[in-house]
Amino acid sequence: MTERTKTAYVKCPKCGEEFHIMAEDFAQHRDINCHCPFCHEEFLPSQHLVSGRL
Amino acid sequence: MKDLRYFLNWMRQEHPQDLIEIDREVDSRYEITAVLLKLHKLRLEDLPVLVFKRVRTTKGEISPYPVIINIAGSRRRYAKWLEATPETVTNVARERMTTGRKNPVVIPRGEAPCKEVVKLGKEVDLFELPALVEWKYNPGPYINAGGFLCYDPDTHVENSAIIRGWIKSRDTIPHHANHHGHTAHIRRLHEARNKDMRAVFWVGHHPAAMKGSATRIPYGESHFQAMGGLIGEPLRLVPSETLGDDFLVPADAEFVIEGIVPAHQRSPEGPYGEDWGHVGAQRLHPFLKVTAMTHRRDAYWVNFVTGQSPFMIDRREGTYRADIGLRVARMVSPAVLEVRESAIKGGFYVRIKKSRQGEAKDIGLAVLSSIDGAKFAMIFDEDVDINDDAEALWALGSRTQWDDDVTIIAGARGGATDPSTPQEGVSAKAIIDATTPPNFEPRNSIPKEVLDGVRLNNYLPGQFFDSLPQRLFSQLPENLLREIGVVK
Repeated sequence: MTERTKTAYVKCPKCGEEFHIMAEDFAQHRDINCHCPFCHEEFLPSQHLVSGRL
Repeated sequence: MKDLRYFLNWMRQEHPQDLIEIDREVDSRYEITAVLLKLHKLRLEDLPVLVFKRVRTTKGEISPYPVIINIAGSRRRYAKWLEATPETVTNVARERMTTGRKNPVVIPRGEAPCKEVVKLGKEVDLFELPALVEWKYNPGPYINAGGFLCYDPDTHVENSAIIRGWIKSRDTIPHHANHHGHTAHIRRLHEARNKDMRAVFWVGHHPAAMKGSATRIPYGESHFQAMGGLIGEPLRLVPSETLGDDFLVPADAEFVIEGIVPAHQRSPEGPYGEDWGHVGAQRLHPFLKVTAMTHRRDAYWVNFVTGQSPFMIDRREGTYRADIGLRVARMVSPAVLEVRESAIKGGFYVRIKKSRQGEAKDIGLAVLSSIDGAKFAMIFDEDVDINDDAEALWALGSRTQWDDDVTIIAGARGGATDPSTPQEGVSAKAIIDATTPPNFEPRNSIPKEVLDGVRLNNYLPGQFFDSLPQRLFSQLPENLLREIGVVK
């Protein structure tokens, strides 16, 4: 299977855990925070990308 | 009336060994998933209905509401509710939801069990619910066995679908409605007019009613009527508390959570342990802002444990999505006998009485286009028992050549949560034609009178059958049980 680009990984600035987001969704709404499933911190994904792009 | 209590009583009478009430304290976070993971290793054909009576919520409190899982964990039980057999249940369900539909009835608020407790506005705290956190990446408790109910703004025909909702705060539920589905369509109709959408999550009812909500029916047809057809009596409805008297909700539900979906507003939702067995990415989705929650005084909470195919309602029943495929495929060709969800995720078996070449491909197209998330349709001749995965896979191996019998359709509409798609909601699909051409080599067989004349207990000793676990017997057909002397 070839590499998939529909998702991007972000790193939570509070707890340091990584999780993935749907790139297209957040690219269309750059002002909406993502939500860390581990510590519930909310932050702009564009500023905490680990891999992939929005 | 046929509601969840009716179903539990039916289980106590008909399948007492498969209704297990558990007093031990369990955590809503992961622990019930762990129980199911271990239970699954037993390779049971029929999963028992488990009632966890002491569930610790994510707030850290023991919930007053027991949690029921595996409510639809058996095709055999489902067939029995509908007075069908496992082989005929898809056809019977489809008939009940079409020609057998029943108009709902409206009852006064004072008679509706779901109104025994009414909480409005700030009184609502969704975290009191024992909703499960099934998997590690799930951000919190999820409603995933609830019907999400909304109404077309023009026709006022309702749509009820089983979709998931994350309890993000005490009154907010971001939820995932498949982009291709009717719920999302109705939301888009509202948003095109800049109108907020009234909506409800209802949780806990007779599993046949849940099935009537979960199934895909043509847009504009009433799920309430389909639910009535499946439970065999008119569904009872009652006006909502905060959404207007014209917004009717299932009166016999355990819980009804009312609210407004604000137009054009989005919230993060997920990640979520999808039924594809992988963690689906966090998305931006609409959310329900809750205005009221009503419930029974001694309410039960119902959850699925999704995230691994074998636990899913559709896999166990094998009918969740298959019935719409059957309906559409029959419009294309009367040769279609049966449609069944396969053991392979995204795959559907179709059994046909083939009369001409090319028929299988047309039928495959109908199945693939009508069932959400269908990735491949495997078409078999009528001699193949598609209720037996082993037999279907045997036929797949011995009756196909990939260069000749596989048709691939690139870039079709796909399952929104399938991790393998290159683009969300866009997928390749395949038709595998495992039907045989004229003059194909015949299948191994023996004379019927020889097969019918052999009784296993004339050859194998009684100790052999005594050593088989009792539960296995409950999964065997009665004629075989008679043959081995378990049933006289």
